[in-house]
Amino acid sequence: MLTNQGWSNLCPDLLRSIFKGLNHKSCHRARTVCSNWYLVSTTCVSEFCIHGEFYSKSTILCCSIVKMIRFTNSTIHILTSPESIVSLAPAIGFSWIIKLYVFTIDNSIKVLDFSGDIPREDVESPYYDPQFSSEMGLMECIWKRKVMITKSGNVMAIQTSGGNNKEKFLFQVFKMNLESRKWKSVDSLGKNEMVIFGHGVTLRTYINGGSIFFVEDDLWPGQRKCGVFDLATSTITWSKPVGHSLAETRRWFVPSSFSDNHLQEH
Amino acid sequence: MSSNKIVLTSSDGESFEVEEVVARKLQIVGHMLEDDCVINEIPLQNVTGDILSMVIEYCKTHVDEEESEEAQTKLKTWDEEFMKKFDIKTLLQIILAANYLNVKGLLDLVSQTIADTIKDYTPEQIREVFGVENDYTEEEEAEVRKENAWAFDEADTPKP
Repeated sequence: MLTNQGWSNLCPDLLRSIFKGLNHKSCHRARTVCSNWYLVSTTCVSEFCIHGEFYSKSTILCCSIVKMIRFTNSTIHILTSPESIVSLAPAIGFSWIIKLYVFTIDNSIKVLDFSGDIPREDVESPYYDPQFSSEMGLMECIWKRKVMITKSGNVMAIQTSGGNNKEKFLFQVFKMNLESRKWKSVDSLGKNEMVIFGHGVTLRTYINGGSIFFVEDDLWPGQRKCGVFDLATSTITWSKPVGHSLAETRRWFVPSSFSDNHLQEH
Repeated sequence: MSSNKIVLTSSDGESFEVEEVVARKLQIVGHMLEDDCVINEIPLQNVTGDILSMVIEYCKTHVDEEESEEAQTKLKTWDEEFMKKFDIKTLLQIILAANYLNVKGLLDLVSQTIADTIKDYTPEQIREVFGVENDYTEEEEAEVRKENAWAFDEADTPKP
């Protein structure tokens, strides 16, 4: 018998098999026990299959259907349909994710609460029920809608529309009046907030308020230019074309030693 | 299925005569039988008699797994009662044996039982109950705790 095997140096397969039975929270507690448990836990992938009508018709960050959400060490992967994985690393702006706000195709925001054993819908959230009303513009003119959480914790909805004549491209930001539960258009994101609209993840960081950075077809289908939209004046500053950009996907990135000058296209 | 008997011998020389269908629940035995079907005595070097008898008890109970809901519920209750008999030390021996003998059902059952035990414990309690030594330095432990701070109750650790 392998009598020298104790709980601390149990072989990784067996430890993984045990960790698999733990919920997200207790798994993180257990890894604090010793360095071997920690090491093994970082190789665990716990999967939560999300079932039911709500999930199958939901869109995540306005573009895809959520099929499965799984956690690894430091990242939450959201497997969407068509097959693509949106990864939300808690390192970017979230110290951890307890709640996930999901934009559904019926124009309301569903809230998934991850603090318990299994993800559940937070039906008490003020955002749970109200749908976006027609005040937000005619549906046929709207291209993309996303939900974002500002640094100060406000839940905002952001949409791009072509306006009535589809010539004047527009970003609009909405915030809910929590008393009347109505969405109202706002002309500021809040102090020191900005948005990088593209690629499924809304990111916020320090910059003078009201700027929305977008790429490619964020603004309108077939639109190939990148730029920055100023929310206060509703004007767009187009960026200069870089390289042979027709063949490549461009995106904004923010260096960790961040200042205005460092915001770049790639 | 013939009621062919197989003798399983533990590392400390204890012998158990079981029906072939039961022995085949131990996949390690199943593979040996496929390789050479005339074996009727199998030595199992990595498991002691007391643990092997528990594994056999599990396999006997699970030998005909019926589909019906009633039978499943009954089995589940039996599993729970079966697991209650063991302390943490014995569970360690059983999980090692289930892994070595390759009894998938038992492996899953013990893993879940252990996970359920760990679930509500703090790291300190887990170390005490499982006899795991804390091998972090003070700085390392603070770092790991900080990283996983959200998993502790708000009362213990302030949110960053």
